[in-house]
Amino acid sequence: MQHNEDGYGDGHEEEDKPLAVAVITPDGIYPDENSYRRAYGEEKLAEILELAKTKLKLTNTDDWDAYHNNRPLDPKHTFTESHLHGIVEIQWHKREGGGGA
Amino acid sequence: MLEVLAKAKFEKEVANLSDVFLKSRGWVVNNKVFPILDVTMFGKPTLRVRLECDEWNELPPSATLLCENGDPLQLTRTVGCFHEGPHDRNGKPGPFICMRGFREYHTHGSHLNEHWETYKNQDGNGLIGLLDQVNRHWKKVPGHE
Repeated sequence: MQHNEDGYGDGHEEEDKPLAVAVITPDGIYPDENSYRRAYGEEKLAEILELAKTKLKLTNTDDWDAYHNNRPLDPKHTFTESHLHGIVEIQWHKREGGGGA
Repeated sequence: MLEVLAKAKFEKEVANLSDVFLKSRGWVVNNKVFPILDVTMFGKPTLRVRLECDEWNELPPSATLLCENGDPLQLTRTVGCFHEGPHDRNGKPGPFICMRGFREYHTHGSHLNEHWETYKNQDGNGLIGLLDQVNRHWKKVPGHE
């Protein structure tokens, strides 16, 4: 994957730098297979997930969960609040179905 | 269902198992020739799932749980959706996945009133989405990572 936008600011701390974000779902990858989308620390994860939902033509993701390195994420939080920096690949998929014995 | 339609749908979905996706999940594909989808999900412990996807998606996939080397997985007890088996109706020995979206669930005596038809077109209930759900269940078993 490569960044689809150049530039990371000049001299800001890591927390202030833009992030490179991809959302990897079983139905495809946002923004695409070969690039990341620029995002900012104050953006909510839900905003990026909504863009992914639209791009991937998903219709109902109410019961989908997001993870980063197997850590659950709260879409209502910002990237900064979620302690996400740099290159971020979000795993996003439907919550595991019910069942059991 | 016409096999050609099932195969076309299968191949369209399996095409999403890209290198980027597989790396993100820590999976390796062992076989993706219709009607078999065989994936190893690396973890502690590693789980391998072999799906038989005949009549996809009129029928949900039938899953066989395997060890990393391909031997049948043995469970000493039921944990979460991983039933120690045997199944009450299909006669197969060994553990099975008792979770919505899998043939062994919808044909199990306890769930005959839960029809696959209700779930099959929901976002995230494609073949890869179902594997994602199994992977998450597996990681949530106490002691697993």
